[in-house]
Parts: sequence; C-alpha cells; structure tokens
Amino acid sequence: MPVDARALTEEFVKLLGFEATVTEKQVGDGVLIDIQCDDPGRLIGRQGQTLSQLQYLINRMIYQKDPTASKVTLDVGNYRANARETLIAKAKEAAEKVRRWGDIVELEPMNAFDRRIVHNALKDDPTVETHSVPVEGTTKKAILLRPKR
Amino acid sequence: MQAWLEYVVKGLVDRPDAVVVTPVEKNNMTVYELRLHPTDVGKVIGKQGATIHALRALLQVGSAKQGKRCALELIDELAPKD
Repeated sequence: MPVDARALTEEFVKLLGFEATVTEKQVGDGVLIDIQCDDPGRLIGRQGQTLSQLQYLINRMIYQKDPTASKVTLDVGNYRANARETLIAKAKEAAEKVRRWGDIVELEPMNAFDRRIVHNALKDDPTVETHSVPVEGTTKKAILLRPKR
Repeated sequence: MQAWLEYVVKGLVDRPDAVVVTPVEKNNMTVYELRLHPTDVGKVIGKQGATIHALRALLQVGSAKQGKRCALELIDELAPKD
C-alpha cells in the first residue's frame, strides 16, 4: 500500500493544534508537501529549524510504513522558496564584491543543502569560482568565492 | 498533545501496540512518560538523538501554541531499579 504523505502530514499538524491546508505536488526530482496554516512562524522556527525537524519526522514515519517510498520535501507558506531566493541574492552580491575588488569572500557556514544552492547559482559565472572549506566545531562548511584565473 | 504524541510515536515504531503515553502533572507542566517495546527504543531516539530531539522540539511548538508547558521523558524499563 503506498503511503499517503499528504494525509499523514495533515494529521500530524492538525493533532499538533494547527489549522492547516496541506497540498501535495510533483516537482522535478520529488514530491513537495505544502502546508498553509495559521501561525506559520511557529512551524518554521529559527532559520527553518523546526521545519527541518518536522520534515525529518514525517520522512521517518513514511519510511516506517514503506521503506521503499521516496522522501518528501516540506514547505510552510513558501518559506523554502523565499529562503532560496534570499540565498541566491546573497551569493550574487558576494560574487559582485569579488568581481569588483578581486578579494576572496567567505560566506557563513552552511549545510550541504544550502551550499548546493549557492554553488549552482554561481556555476555559470565566468568571473568567480566557489569551493567549500570545513569549519571547525561544526559539520557545516563555508563557501569561499574567489576570482577565476 | 497526547493524541499527537501517540500518533507520531506509533508511526515510528515496529510495535505500536506496545506504545504507552502517561501524562504526569508536575508544577504547571505536563510530563509525558513514554514507554515502548524494548526493541523500539533506538528507533524513537534516532541517530545522535535526532528523532527524540525533533519530537521534543515539535512538542514544544504545539504546547507553546496552546500556552502550556510540556516535556517528554522516555522511560527505560530495563534500567535497574534501586
């Protein structure tokens, strides 16, 4: 029996005490579950931390029901889409700084998911190159931008 | 909150029939004692405690929304009693 990730998520957030409308859609490489609810800030948390934990729990529950089912991505009121735009804008701004001054710019430590967005945003830029360097005390890495020689 | 907790924990384990949630009132706070089948304890804790941390964080979110204080305690039946 296939798992109904949408219904599972809806039950989850309703039992938690949120008024929510949950929709499911197919995007490129997977399934996106979108939650429209009252009080979205609570479900998102600081820097999307609560949203990540919610997504993790939902995926654990899906896996328990069907280990072959693919993972889903959760979003609350377009938070992920907006965070992505903000991050791309920040990456482009840093690239502009590198272009103008020829300096090396280091972005703050990010997880793999966010770094991928930055690398992809700048991969076609002919003037800068990006690479990740480890940061002590965390599993996150910082991206270095420098002029292409 | 209890219904949510039971729904999620039962969805995470191999033996949902053995999941028991007991609310205990302690100075303005509800502590949910969670008892599981011994083989399911690891599943609810998760790698580096990821699952139990996520459960506690979401419990916090739900209870804060209702203006309550809640905590989750995993009761290990195998622990020696003395």
